Amino acid sequence: MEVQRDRLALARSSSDRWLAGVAGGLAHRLGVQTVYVRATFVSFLLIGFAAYVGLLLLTIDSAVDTSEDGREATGQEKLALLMLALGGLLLVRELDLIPSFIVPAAFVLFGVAALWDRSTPAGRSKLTRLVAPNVGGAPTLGRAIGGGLLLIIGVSLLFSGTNVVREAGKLVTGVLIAGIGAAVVFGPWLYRLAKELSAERSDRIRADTRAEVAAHLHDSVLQTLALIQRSPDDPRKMVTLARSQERELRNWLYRTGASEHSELEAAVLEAAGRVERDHDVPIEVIVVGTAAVDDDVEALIGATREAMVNAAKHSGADVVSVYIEADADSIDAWIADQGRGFDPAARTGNGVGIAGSIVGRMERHGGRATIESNSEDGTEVHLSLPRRAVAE
Amino acid sequence: MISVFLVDDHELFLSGVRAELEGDYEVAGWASDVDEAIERIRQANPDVVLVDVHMQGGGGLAVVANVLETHPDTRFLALSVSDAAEDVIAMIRAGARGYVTKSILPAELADSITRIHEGDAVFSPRLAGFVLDAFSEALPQEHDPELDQLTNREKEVLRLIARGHAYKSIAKRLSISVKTVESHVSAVLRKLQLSSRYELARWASDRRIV
Repeated sequence: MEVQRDRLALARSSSDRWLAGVAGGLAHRLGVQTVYVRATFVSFLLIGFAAYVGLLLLTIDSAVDTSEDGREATGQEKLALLMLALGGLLLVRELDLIPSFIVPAAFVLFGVAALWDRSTPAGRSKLTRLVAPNVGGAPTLGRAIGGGLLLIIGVSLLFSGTNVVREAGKLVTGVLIAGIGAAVVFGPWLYRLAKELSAERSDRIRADTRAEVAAHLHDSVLQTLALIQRSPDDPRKMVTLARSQERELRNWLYRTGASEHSELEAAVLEAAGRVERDHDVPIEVIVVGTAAVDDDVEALIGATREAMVNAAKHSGADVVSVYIEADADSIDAWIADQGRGFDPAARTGNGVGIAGSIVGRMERHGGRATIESNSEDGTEVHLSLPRRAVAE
Repeated sequence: MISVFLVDDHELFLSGVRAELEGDYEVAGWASDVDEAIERIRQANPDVVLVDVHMQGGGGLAVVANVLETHPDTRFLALSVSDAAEDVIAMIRAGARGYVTKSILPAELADSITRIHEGDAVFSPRLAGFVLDAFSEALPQEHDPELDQLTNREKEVLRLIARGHAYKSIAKRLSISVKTVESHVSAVLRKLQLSSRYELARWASDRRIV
């Protein structure tokens, strides 16, 4: 969305800047190298300065980083730029606003700009590539020739004009004095403006970050705290709420960025979180090793979820432990509780849960499930899934 | 009576734990920052120190390392809101004999303190999982197999801890005594502290997990 806005409006550049980013923004908009825009400003001297200030006041400050600009001007835009420059030149000439050395001086400046330019080919538009093909660090042959040619033309124009040196001397002095005057008058103001702009920008970034954190805490922690206050008579519910909030907050704080860790672990944690919420029983999940989630692993996770639900619903235990270990040969899961236990043999017939969704599911995917249970130690379900060879 | 020293920069938590322990344990003192803790622990010379991990000025790591230099017999139990692998492994390697999270129930905390005092290690299921994970990959030849690998028995014990079994239940399943279970756990702790496994540090740091 930033890019869209940037294309429509003329924006100042936040990254490509000497003063307030006007030249950078203009260059970005027109798809030319910034150095040429700066050269244009400089070669028009006071008019350029006035144009700069005018543009500074008219343009918006851009948050878009234009330093990696890949945009190129279309042919039409280039033509427009060229005509604009020519028109401007002719206009100031007609109005007699500029001394005769301005045109040669512009040539010199563009020449110097081409020689100085050290940008990479990626950030270079076709227009500038005409002057300087395949650019590296030092001036390449093409650029040296192009720049040198411009320099020679400019300098020879300067010296061929009548009285041009003396006239130029006078003018340079005048312009220098005027420039110093302008700097004294506008300098502090410009400096303050630039400072305020950058302060404003960092304030905005800070405010954005703050708003994001606030939004997250509002949707999660504040909601949970409200829920906890509403259920003071149900300690179990409170513990579950606190736990699931803790899990979520830890995820948000620590897990962002480390995405490539085990898909298996993420899937099991998600399943456990859901069971925990639905049945108000804390579930401790520990996963060792990593695995991608395919159909078989999906089945193992499904069976694990069923076993967690059974333990949470029927065992009466305070906590359910889930331990999953993935190594090269197999993935094993143990779902244990220290609850009241049951007789696995007696339940096999009637319980669709255990027979179908745990044992049957594991067997369909080439694995197996064993259940140990008694009234003393509680219940432990062991699921084992052999890992298929890579060749299969 | 076992004397216990508490280090935590969270006042509310500190006073809560103090209230829980008083009566059953002698609370030898408490501190809420690193330098104060190091100085007072050296003076009080308690049996067991409960130390928070995240604190200003170096955290629990600095407390453990500094006190152990002058008082090598002090036993530390790390108590933290974090159970990120890097924190857990770092504290154990610095010399803590156990690591539990602050959500631990009061009875379990008391039990952990007693076991630490008896010279045992306290491995939560999660810590057992971390250790199994960290020691799971095979190593190249030049490593010290004594320290850089776990025996099958040690792995079995850790696996059972990770599965949520108590020492008594582990002993029953493996047909060994509870004392033998404890000695396996202590051996694992020693390996964790002395092992040169370069993976250990890397593993912990690139696994910023819950």
